[in-house]
Amino acid sequence: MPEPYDSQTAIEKIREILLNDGYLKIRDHCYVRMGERTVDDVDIRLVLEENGIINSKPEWDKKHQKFKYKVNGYDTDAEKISVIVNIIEETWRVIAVTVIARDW
Amino acid sequence: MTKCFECDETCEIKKYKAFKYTGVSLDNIVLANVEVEVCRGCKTETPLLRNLKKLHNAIGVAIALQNAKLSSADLRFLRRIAGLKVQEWSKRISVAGAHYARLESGDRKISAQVETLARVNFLNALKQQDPENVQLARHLETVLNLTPASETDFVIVINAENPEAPAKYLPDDSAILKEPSASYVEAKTLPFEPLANVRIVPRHSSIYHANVNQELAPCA
Repeated sequence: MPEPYDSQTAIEKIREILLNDGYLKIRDHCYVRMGERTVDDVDIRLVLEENGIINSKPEWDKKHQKFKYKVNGYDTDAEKISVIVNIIEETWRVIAVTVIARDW
Repeated sequence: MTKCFECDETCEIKKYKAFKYTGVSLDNIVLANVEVEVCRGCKTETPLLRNLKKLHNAIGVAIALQNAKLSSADLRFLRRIAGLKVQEWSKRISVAGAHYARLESGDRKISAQVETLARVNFLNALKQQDPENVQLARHLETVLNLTPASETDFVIVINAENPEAPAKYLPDDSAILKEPSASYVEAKTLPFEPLANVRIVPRHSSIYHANVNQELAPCA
């Protein structure tokens, strides 16, 4: 198992990727959850690029062999949301795995 | 090659000439020249989005400049891209917060005055973020001279490779987004070469997108 990023490095890495021509991929499953929580790409971007912080340890996703980071932030209506992401530095991507509402 | 999160099969990246973008709670946005990851197993197609802020701003500008009335979803989108909450935004467009909330939910008709103020305030909010942008000042003039005529019966096409390029407004007879449509293929206003062999495939109940059979170019 590789070493995870610490919280500060992880959020910096997410922004480095997204603000430097990197890709955001939002999984189908995430879109389903977003629909249920009336969250859209505008909210996801706001949390990941601007107001989100990571204050929990990453979880190891055994199936996909990647760490999952939970980014807590506020959506455009100032509601609390958490976006769970994978950071894939090799392909310069951030993958939004799922969204959780009012979880922090 | 990446692996599909859903079925673990390998995915390939294709560049689509047109892809219905449903990620922003609007139903008439099409992205041109967008990279899409396609799973070889379950055929899931996921757009790979870049420069999301530019893309969303461009969609907002296209809405602000549309020569058609704003829908409640358009109004909400402009506010959110401007980065303002309902109370703050409603003050700027001179209506009470409670009344404004009804406009966004579609319970009240949006007046011409509210429309103009929303468009102007949206462009002003972008101008504050980017004071050097001369184009925004021109857009403000355009908005003040608009006489919006019809309801939203068109699609807005944004070039994902260059979101700041002017958006195109293509007629939408709604069937365009649900089944193959010759009129879309032959549209003369496209900023790129005419679409060939467009096939529009239902993805699941509420999401549709336009798919082009041919792969344009290999992507990194």
